[in-house]
Amino acid sequence: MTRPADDQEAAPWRGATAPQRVVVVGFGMAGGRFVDELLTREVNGRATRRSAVTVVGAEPYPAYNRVLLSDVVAGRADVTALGLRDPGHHASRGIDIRVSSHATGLDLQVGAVTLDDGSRLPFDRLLLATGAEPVVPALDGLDPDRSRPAGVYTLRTIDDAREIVAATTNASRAVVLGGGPLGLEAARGLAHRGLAVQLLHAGDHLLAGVLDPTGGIVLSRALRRLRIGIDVRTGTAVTAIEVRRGRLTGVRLAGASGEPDETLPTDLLVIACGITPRTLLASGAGLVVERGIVVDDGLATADPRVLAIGDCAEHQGRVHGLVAPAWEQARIAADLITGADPAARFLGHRPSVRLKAADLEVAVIGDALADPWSEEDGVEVVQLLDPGRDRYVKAVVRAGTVVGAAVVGDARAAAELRLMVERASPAPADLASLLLPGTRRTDQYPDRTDDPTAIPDRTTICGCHGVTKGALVKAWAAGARSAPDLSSATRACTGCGSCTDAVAGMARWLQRVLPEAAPTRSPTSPTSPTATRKLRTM
Amino acid sequence: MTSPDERGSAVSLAAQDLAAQDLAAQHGAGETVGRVATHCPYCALQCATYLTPTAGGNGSGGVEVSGRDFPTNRGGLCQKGWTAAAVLRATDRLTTPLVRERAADGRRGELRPASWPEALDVVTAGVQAAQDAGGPDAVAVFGGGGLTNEKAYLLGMFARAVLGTSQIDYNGRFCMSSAAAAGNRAFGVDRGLPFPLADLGGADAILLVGSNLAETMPPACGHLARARSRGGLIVVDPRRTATAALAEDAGGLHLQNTPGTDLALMLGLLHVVVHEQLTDTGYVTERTTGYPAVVAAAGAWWPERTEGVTGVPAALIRGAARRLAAAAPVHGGAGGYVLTGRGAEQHTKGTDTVTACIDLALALGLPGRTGSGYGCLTGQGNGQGGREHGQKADQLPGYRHLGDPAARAQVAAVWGVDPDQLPGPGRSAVELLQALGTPTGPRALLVHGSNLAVCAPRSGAVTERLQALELLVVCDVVPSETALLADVVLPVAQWAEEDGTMTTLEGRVVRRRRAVAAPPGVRDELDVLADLADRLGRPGLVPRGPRAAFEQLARASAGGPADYSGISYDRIDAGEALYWPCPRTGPDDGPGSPDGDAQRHPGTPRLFLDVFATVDGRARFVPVDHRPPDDDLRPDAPLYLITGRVLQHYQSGAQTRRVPELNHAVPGPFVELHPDLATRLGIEPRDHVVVSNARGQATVPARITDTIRTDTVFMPFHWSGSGAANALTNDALDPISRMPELKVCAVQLRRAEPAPDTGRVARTPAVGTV
Repeated sequence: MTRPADDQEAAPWRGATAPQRVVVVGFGMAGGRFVDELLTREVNGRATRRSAVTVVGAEPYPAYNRVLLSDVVAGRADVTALGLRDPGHHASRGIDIRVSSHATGLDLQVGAVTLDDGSRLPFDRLLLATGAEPVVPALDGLDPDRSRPAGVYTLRTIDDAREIVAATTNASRAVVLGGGPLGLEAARGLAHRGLAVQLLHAGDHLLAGVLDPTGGIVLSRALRRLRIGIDVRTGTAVTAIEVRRGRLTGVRLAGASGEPDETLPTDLLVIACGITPRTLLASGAGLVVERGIVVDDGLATADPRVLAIGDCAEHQGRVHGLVAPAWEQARIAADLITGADPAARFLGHRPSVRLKAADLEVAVIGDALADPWSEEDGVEVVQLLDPGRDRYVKAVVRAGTVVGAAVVGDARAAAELRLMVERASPAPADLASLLLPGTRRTDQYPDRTDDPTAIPDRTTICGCHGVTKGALVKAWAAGARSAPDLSSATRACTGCGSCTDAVAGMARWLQRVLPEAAPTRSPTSPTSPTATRKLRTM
Repeated sequence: MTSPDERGSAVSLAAQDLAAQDLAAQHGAGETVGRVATHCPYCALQCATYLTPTAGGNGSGGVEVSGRDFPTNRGGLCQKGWTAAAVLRATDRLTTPLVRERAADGRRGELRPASWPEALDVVTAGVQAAQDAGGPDAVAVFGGGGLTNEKAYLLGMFARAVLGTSQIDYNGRFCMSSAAAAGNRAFGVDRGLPFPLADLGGADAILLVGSNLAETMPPACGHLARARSRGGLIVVDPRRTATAALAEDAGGLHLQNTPGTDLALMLGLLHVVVHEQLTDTGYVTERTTGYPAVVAAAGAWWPERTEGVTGVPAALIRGAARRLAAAAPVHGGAGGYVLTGRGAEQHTKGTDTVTACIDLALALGLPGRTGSGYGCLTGQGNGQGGREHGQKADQLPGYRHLGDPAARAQVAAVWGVDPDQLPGPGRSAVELLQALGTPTGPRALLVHGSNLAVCAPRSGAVTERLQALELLVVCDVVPSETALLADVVLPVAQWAEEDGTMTTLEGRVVRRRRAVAAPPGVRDELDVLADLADRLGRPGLVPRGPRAAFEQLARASAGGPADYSGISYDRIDAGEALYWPCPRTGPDDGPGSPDGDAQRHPGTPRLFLDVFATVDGRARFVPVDHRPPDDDLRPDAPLYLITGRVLQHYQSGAQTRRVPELNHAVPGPFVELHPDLATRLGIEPRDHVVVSNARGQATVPARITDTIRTDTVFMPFHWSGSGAANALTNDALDPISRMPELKVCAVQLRRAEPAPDTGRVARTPAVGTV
C-alpha cells in the first residue's frame, strides 16, 4: 500500500496513559462546537493527547442552533431541525453528556466542578462556555426575582421560541423592546405571523451603536414601507408593564417632556435588550471577570487550566456575542486542549451584524461608523444614499484597505462587502465601485434581437461556431433566405441551439431590410453589394 | 424531450447508416466508400458524426465531418467537432518512432527518427533495466480518459499482468475522481449520468454546479431548453459564463460565488430545503439512510452565514433552493436535476462538494426517479469508460476493486495469470508523478493518451520529474509537450483511423469506427502493447485487435458494477442503445453471439429506479462540512486563480491548437480580470500580465471583463510554456479521491514590462522528423 492517506497512522497517544479529563460547562453553540472540533482532531489523528470529555448543559437539549430562533418565530426555520448533531452522535463517541444540569461550584484548588445534583467532576482542563442571558430591564410590574407574567418573553432558548410561537396564535398585538438585530428579527417574524407590532427602541435610531443615523433612518423607512404592520418608535423610554390577572395587557411609555405617560395595549412583549455574559461560576472561583470572563489570546482565564469561549468570554475588552467568533474560539480551544496546534491563538474578530429578516437586507461589518467628513489621515468614506429605494450603502477605507461597510436594502452589496471587509481587501481605484459591486459595465452577451441594425458586425451571434452578425449578413447576401439557410451556410444554431431565436430574428430582419432581395432563393437576382454594406453599421 | 419512441426511430436511422459503413468496411481499410458513422474525437458527449471522404481524399485526413442525428447531440456539433478532420491533417503528425540519444554520462541528446523494431528494443531494454534495478514497480504506466475502452482495458492488463507493476493511474484522476468517489459512497456505483441525457429535456429546473456546458459541450445545451424557458436554470460559477448567461437571460439564476465555496453554497441550499420543510420525507424514509446527520450538518449553514462565506446573497440562496424544490416530484414539479462539473470537483474537497450536491438531490427525492436525478457531466471523451476498466490505481475491469479477492480471481482467470501475481493498489496520479525518478519511485514511465506536461497541476514540477526518469516512453499522435520530453516517442493512430468503443457521459457504449487509414509508419496502440508483451516474455497474453480486446473486456467485467458482458460490437452495430450494466444473461447472448435473442439484457438507461447499488439498496446521505481552499488568499497572493476551458480548445490543446480555424478563433492564452482590478493594477486591455505564486508564473495578455468577480482571475489551461495556467495550480489532494486542486489557488498579478513573447506556443517545432 503506497497511498499514505490510507495508512491509519497511529496517533501518538494511542495506547498511552490515561486520557486527560476535559470538562465543558455549557452545551450551547460554543460548547457543542468545541466538542465537535475535539472529536474531529481525535478522528483525523491531529490530537496529541487523548481526552475523556464530560459536557454539562443547563438546558434539557443537546447543543442546538440558537441563531435560528428568530427564524423559528418567523416560521421559516423548523424547530425540530435545530440540533447541531444528529441525536446520539456525541454519546456514540464516548462523550459523557449531562443535560438539565447546572454547574454550581468551581474548585480551582482541587480542579473540580460541582453540579446541582451534588456530583463532582474533576478535570485536567476546563472549558467554560456558559454563554449569556438576556438583559431584562428594570420595569415596574416585572419583578426579576419572580416568574414573569404570561405574555412577557425573552428570545434566547428553544423553549422561549416555542412559547412565543404558541402565544402568537391568540394574540393580535405585540411589542418588541429593543431595536437591535434580535429585536428587528423578532419584530419581522411576529409581523409575518400577522401580528401588529410596535418596535420600541431607546436609542435615536435602529441598530444604534453599529449603524450610523442615516442608515438607521433608511432602515426605519424601509420597515414602514414594507407595510407589514411594524410601527417603529425610537427614543422611547419604557417604564412599566401592565398586568391583569397574571397576564400582560400593556406597556407604559414615559411621556416626552411635559406630556403624560402613554400606554400601549398589547398581548405580547418580547424583550430584546441585549445579553449579559454568565460569569457567576468563574467569579465565584476567583477568576478575573470584567464584563465577561477575561481571557488572553490563548483563551486562557486567570487559571491556565481553564479556558473560556463564546458569549461568556471577554477578549481584549470585547464580548462578541456572535456565533462566528465563538466558533473560531471553539476551533482554537480544541487545537490547544488536544495539542493539535499549541501555537493556535485568537486574535480578535471584526464585529458584524447581518439581519436575518425577510425583505430586509441589512449588513454592518467592521468599522462602519466612521464619519464621512473625517479628516483622519488615510480614512475615506464613500456612501450611496437612495431613499426612494430604501437603499443605503457605505464603505469605509483605511490606508487603502476596506475596513468597514454598512448596507441597507441591497442584497448584492451586502454579500460582496462582507467578503471584502472580512478579507481586508484593497480598495479599488474608484471607491464608488464599492457601492455597486457586481454592476456590469460591459456585456459580452448583448441582447441580440432587440434591433439587429444596432448590433455591430463583429458581434458574435452563435458562440458555438463563432458566427458573427457580419457572417450572417454575408450569408444572406450569398443567397440564404431563411433561418435554416443561414444555419446551413454558417453552422449557426447547430451547437447548443441557444441562438436559434436570434438567428430567426436576424432572418426576419434581413427579409425586411433587404427589399431588393426576392423572398425565395433565386440565383438570378444577385444581392446588391450596396444593400449589404448598408447593413453594416459599425 | 425525446420520447422513447423518437429515440427508437433514431436508432433505426443509425442502423441504416451502419449499413453504409459495413459496406465501406468490406472494401478494407483506406478504401472507404460512402460515409462512416462514428463519434467526435473530443469530449464525453461523443456527438454522433458522419465522416465522408472528400473528393480524391483517400488516405490521411481526407474526410469531412458532419453531424449525425443521435439522442444526445441531435445532429448538432460544436466548432471543434465540425473542424475535427483537420486534426487528421496536422502537418507535424508523428509518422515514425523517435529515440533520444543518451551520452555515456547519461546526458540527454536529441530525438532522432528510428525504426519500430529499434524503438521497441529501446523500450524493452529500458523496462527490463528499470525492473532489474528496482523491481516490478520501477516501471509505471500513465493512461488517459480519451483512450477507447479497449485501450484503457489493455493498459490496465498490460501493467498488471505483463509488467506486474502496481504503478498505474491516469489523467481521469484529474477529472472524474471526486464525482466518482462521491457517487460510489452515496449510490454504490458511479455512472456519470445514471440516466439518458435527453431526460433533462423534461425537467422544470436544473442546477448546474461548476459546469460551463454552453462552452464545453454546446450541443448538450439543447436539453436544457425547457428548464431554461421556465426560469429553472440555476448556474453556480464564479464567472458569468455563457452558461450563466443562458440562465440569467431567461429568468434563471446565476449564483456567482467566490471560488472554492461550492460546498458551503450547497449546504446553504440544503439548509433552506430542510428548514422550509421542502424535503421529500416519504422518499427519504423509503429510499435513503443517514438523513438526520445531514440535517444537522446543513443546520450550521443558514443562508446569511453561507452568504458571508460564498458572497452569494442570502435571498438568492433561498430563491434557488425554492426553485429547485418546486421542480421536485414531491412538490408537483415535472422533475429537477443537480449536475456537477469540474468546477465543483477539482478541489481538495471535491468529493465532499459532490456529496453535498447529492445530499441536496436526495433530500428533494430526485435520484432514482425517471425525470429527475443527480449526475456528473463527464469531461474527457471516454472519461466514463476510461474509469471503469483498470487504468485506475486501485481498480480491475468492470469497475471492481483491486483489493477484492473474488474480483482478482475472476479477472486473473480471464487473463490466464495467477491471481496472487496481480499487484495491489498503487499510487494515485499526482502521487505517482511526484514519485517519478525519486529513490523510491518509478524509474521508467509509459504514457498513453495524456499530455502530462500541460494538463497536470504544478506543471513545472511535473516536467522536472519526467526529466528525472531513466526512460520516458510516450505514445502520441503529434509531438506534444510531453512527447518532446520522452526518450522514446511511438507514433500511434488516432480516432478516425481506429476501431473501438467509447462510453459516453450517459454510460452508453458507442462505436468509434475507422474511416481512414493511418499514415504509413503509424501503428495502433493496441498492437504496440501486444508487441511489447511479446518482447517482455508474455507472448500471446495481450489480445490483438479491438474486437478481441473488447470481447475479453466484456468477459472480465462480468459481474462487476460496470458489467459489459452482454455488450458486443454486433449489438451496437445493429443500432442498439446499450447502457451499462448490461450483463450476459445466457450462453447465447455474449460477445459474438447470434443476433435476435429477445432474452438478451437490454442495458440499463436509468439506474436506481428500484434500488440503489448499496448493500441495503438505499442511498446514503453523508454529512460533510465546508473548508477553505488549500492555497487560500494571503497578503502576497491576494487573488484567486480559477482555470477552465474555452469552447475552441480541448484539454492540453495538443489537438485543437493544430486546427487552423480554432487556433484563429482563440490563438493563445490569456487572463480574464475585472475592470476594477485592472484599474487598480494599472492594466489596460491586451497588456501583458504576470500571474505568479510560489509554484510558478505565467505571462499572458489581459482580457478585461466584468463577467468575473473582482477577487478572481481566470486562465484557460490549454497552453504550455509562458502561458501555462497549470504552472500555477496546486497539486494538493482531496483526501478521498486524490483529486488535485486544479480549480483554485492564490496568485499575485502585475503588469508585465515590457510586453514579452506571448507564450503562444500553438505549434511546437516538428523535431525535424515529419
